[in-house]
Amino acid sequence: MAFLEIEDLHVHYGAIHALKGIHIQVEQGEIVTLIGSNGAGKTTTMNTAAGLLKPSQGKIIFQGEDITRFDAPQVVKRGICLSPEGRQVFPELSVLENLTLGAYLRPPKEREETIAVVYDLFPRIKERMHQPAGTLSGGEQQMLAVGRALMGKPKLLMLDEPSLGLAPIIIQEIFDLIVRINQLGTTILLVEQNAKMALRISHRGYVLETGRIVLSDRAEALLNSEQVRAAYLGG
Amino acid sequence: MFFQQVVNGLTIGSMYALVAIGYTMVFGVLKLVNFSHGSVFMVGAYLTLELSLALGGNFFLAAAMSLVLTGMLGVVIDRAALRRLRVKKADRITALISTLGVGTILDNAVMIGFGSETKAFPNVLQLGRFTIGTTVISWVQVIILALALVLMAIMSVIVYRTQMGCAMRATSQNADAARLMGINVNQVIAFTFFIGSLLASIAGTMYGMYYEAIDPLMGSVISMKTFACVVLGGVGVLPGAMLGGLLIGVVEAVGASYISSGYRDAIAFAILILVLVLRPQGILGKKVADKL
Ligand SMILES: Nc1ncnc2c1ncn2[C@@H]1O[C@H](COP(=O)(O)OP(=O)(O)OP(=O)(O)O)[C@@H](O)[C@H]1O
Ligand SMILES: [Mg+2]
Repeated sequence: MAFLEIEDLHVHYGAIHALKGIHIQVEQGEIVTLIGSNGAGKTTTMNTAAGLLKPSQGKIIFQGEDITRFDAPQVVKRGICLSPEGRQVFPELSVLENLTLGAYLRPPKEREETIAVVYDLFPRIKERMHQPAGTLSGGEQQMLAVGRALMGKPKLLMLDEPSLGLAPIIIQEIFDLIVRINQLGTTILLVEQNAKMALRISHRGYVLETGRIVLSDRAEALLNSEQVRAAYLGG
Repeated sequence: MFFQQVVNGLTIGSMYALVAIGYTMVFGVLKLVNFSHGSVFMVGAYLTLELSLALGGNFFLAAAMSLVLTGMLGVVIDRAALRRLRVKKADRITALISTLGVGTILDNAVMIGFGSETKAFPNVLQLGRFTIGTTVISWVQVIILALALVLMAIMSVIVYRTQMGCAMRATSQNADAARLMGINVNQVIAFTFFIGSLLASIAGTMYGMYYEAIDPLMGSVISMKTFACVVLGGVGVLPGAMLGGLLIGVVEAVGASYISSGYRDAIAFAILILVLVLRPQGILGKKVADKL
């Protein structure tokens, strides 16, 4: 059994059938990317796995445990942390308070150490420790959102469009950091519009189209596939 | 004369402030005006009175029991009348009507249980009064004001310095993101109701001691007034509720004595309207009025 197994997942928003039975597997140590155009259901997949949404059908199994009906805090407790789409930092709280909340369910004594790791990955965040998060630039907020998710010491880190709205040079920086975080031993499930860059750092990928998985393969194979190139990699 | 009214106003204002804190905290985490809060204040006063009679005049034990029970009442209100609406993602107006209903039920329950007439409330702190110049200040006033200031300081520490306070502010800014941190939002909400209702009970007891009388409708008047305090100070901002409470208390007392006591309530709202025209977010409020 895989590290994370999503089986036949259906999600509805009222009458809207957003996910129509998707299957995804993530193995321990992997970076897996979910690509797909706007409205395909990528965020819905991530939010459901994180416990923010309840599926109407299907199963989510993490490390052999059925977490389908778990509420978000229980999912976090099991070691899955999501850096949500659009950053969602707490704008009025300081950078440090944001990070501290990321470790809300962790023993307080390990906090210092985890913060040091995060500051090491994102030195820019450290300089702005006491600033309200809402005053950070978009890129800095994104780093804070990823750092905050890391504060929960996740076994599985889910990143929903970490490069959204960032300058190319910052995007490169973020992708380099994702690789580093993975090398430090964290499994990663990634959602990206920036399909080419995402697939380059991933082991495997899934292509989502209007609520269905239409392709899944090793990342290199997807990068070279005609179908994917035409639809998602700009030819 | 002026100083006298300021002192009287601060006394009343500190009760407003304590009630306003509960209002604003619930608004902060739920984006909901909790119209049952005034009735909770009234129930707090009644519990203190009735328990004290039942306990043979042990007033302080009664007041202590009242604040715990009233705090629990707040939690029960959320559990019974609001949580299911949240789960079902009901409109905010539905929750608002629900709190209005709870308020009415509490008012009527007290009338049925204890009668609708005004009841004498013991002022156990017969400590006398002293004068500064021409201003007469009773020790009860000093104690009410001092206690209120201490409670406000404690509240500030809870909200701005503790992990629970941080979770409250996070929930108020972005509830879904708070859940992603592992924060149990329902627990945070229950805690908010508990603390807010507990403060309302203390304010209710103070009110009884100060006026030496309580009645089942005292909640509705306070409800309107403290709502004005909250909006005046800036909705969802803790120091705003405190400032708004003290300010309206003072302005009301001074205005009533210089213009006419018949205009007491009108003065509070005239000030409110005036401030809001000039500064819609309230005195200490941020531009977007959903902060704690
Ligand atoms: N809260 C909601 N209420 C109703 N429909 C929703 C809601 N959220 C998403 N949807 C619908 O569900 C479908 C999937 O949305 P989702 O946000 O998962 O897409 P996505 O792949 O993340 O898109 P994007 O790349 O734009 O972020 C879309 O058709 C969307 O309109
Ligand atoms: Mg999305």
